[in-house]
Amino acid sequence: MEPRHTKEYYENEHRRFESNGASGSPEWMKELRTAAMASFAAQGFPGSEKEEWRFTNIAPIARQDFAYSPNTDYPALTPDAISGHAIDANEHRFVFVNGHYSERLSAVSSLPAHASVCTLASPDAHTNTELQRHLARHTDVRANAFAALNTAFLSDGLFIHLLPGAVVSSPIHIVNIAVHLPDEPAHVSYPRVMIAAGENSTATVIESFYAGDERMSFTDAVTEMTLGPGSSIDYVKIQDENLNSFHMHTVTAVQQKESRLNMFSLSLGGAIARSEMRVGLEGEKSECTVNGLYMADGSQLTDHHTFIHHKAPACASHELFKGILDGSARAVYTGKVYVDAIAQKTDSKQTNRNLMLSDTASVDTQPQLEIFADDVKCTHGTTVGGMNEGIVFYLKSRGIGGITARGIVTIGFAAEATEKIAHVSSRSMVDALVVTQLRKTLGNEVPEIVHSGKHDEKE
Amino acid sequence: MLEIKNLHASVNGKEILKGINLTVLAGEVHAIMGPNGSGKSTLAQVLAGHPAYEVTAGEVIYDGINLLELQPEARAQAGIFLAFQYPVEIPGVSNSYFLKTGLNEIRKTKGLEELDAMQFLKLLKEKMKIVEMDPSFINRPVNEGYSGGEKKRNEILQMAILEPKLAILDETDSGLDIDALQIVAEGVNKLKTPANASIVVTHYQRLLNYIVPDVVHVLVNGRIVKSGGKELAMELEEKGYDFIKDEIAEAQTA
Repeated sequence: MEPRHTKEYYENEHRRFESNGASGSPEWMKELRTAAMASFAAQGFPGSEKEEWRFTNIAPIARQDFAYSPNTDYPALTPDAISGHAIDANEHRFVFVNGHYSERLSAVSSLPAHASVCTLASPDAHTNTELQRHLARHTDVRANAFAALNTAFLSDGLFIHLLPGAVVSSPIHIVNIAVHLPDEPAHVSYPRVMIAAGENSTATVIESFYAGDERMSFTDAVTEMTLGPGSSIDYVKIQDENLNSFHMHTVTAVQQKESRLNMFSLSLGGAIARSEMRVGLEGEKSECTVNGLYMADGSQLTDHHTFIHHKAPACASHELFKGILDGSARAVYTGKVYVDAIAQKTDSKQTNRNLMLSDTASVDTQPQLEIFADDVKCTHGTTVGGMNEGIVFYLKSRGIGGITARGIVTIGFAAEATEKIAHVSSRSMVDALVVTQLRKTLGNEVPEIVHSGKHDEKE
Repeated sequence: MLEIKNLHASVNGKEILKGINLTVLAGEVHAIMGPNGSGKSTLAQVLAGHPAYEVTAGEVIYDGINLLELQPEARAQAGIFLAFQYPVEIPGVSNSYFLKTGLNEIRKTKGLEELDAMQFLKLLKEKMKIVEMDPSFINRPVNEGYSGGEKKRNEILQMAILEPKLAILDETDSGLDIDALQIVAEGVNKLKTPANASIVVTHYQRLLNYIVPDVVHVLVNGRIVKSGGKELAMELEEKGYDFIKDEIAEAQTA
């Protein structure tokens, strides 16, 4: 990397930020930021000499001076325009523009009892205490420069607080939009979400990331969740930013006993897009599924980095990531499952499958298992290959060949991943985005996705 | 309609078909019977153009053209249909899209106008009645989560929609209970016309109680060793394939 003063640039930005926009934050948040900034300054952006970043060169992000902007007033963004991103007619929609909450664009109806949602910029006294208890407690900023940078600029975001027994039946949808005025420099935004799910609470949370224009931007997001005993969270992430954007997202979840987490990540956009998903199974009999689908074309780089840590007995983790790569796109998948000695009766399965639609696309896939318990069931597998020949011949035998067959086979491949999304309207949105993406290269013949209904137990 | 001359085919370098000769005329139903591993399914797959099989000698003339030169999709467009022994599941893709696309590809090559969604739906519902399929299958993914019988009915439904000139049924009876077998067989019978023909590949005589063949061929070790009328199937049922093998052995030693 050329000796540009990236660290100094962000240190200066941070000083400006502390003196201008973020003076209203509570004292503990300021302290958190200062510590995180020191941590970022100590490590800088990661280079490819680091194992975790071996295949993902982030020099294009470090090379650019991205500007922090608290502005949320963009004439192009209207509630109508935003409603095109709506997933569920009854969703609680919180819209963040360049990382800042926009009340004007949001559509929030009253939440059920025992559940509260507030922005990090304006916590009330009670929430402040709760927030302080949870925020940034499980994300290790010393080992993650991007999470450190996000925390250093922490001033806004969303805190979803579910008291014991809270059941939020309509999904909470956080829409992130990166956008510019014509004369503004390229923006960086620091979206932040904290979900604290109390005992036996239930909610569906969707985080989506879009661009409001075709400009370059940098989204550096952090999501944290703590799942209390018996709680259940469905989490869906949709990343569909423009092809000039950079996206770094760290998701960290900590699960107590008998909690259930079902995560799905769709990655479509971005020049470089990376999602790091870390789950700590800390209580007995907790379960997580971490699934995803990434699609990349042209010169895109898409990266999923998962780390599932079994710290207690009888927990289950299931992971399926599928990738569709075309053009000269590159994908990285690193999936690590770590089973502590105490975590007997662990049930873990990890699968990564890649469909290569061109000879010039590539994928680096690394499933890793480290097991220190002796009574466990752990499997992992990875495939990189072309179209399913059985389906191709079946289609040909019905007169269907060429690009039409390619569309059908690719849809079939994608559908096996998206069917894992339990929340039906999120799944429909993900399916629609996948079809739109494929039609760009394979034409309008690409069919809509239908599912067999075996996963439709949750409406 | 179909003339197979001295057809040899192999998979992974192993020869499976060792000189098949077979002539099928329009309006005829031919049954191909034989023990496991005799090459029955290979013959069906080779006719449909499965890429795993290499034709090493011989020729197949279909409607005056050299079938072996055609890609599998061109064979389908020319009116050949293979009902699969193991129908393939296509997650995410609805039955109706799959069938409509296939039909329209075939119509295009015939110079016919493509059917629009409404026209196709009407046709599909009509044809589903022939195989007694529930309309809910219209929007279900192709074969995914279907029972064995549902998959086979779906094959016959495809045949009903695509209206092939030559239908090849590869062990369509395998894994079917007697009710499903009757429905499938009746579907095949209803689709029979003087202008088309079928080749029914089966291990058991059972299916031939319902689909009455004009000619029965016995395939053993990659060759047709005996041909006859429908009574040959009865004889096989009664005596098993061993009697044929014994006959061959006798013929060879004599």
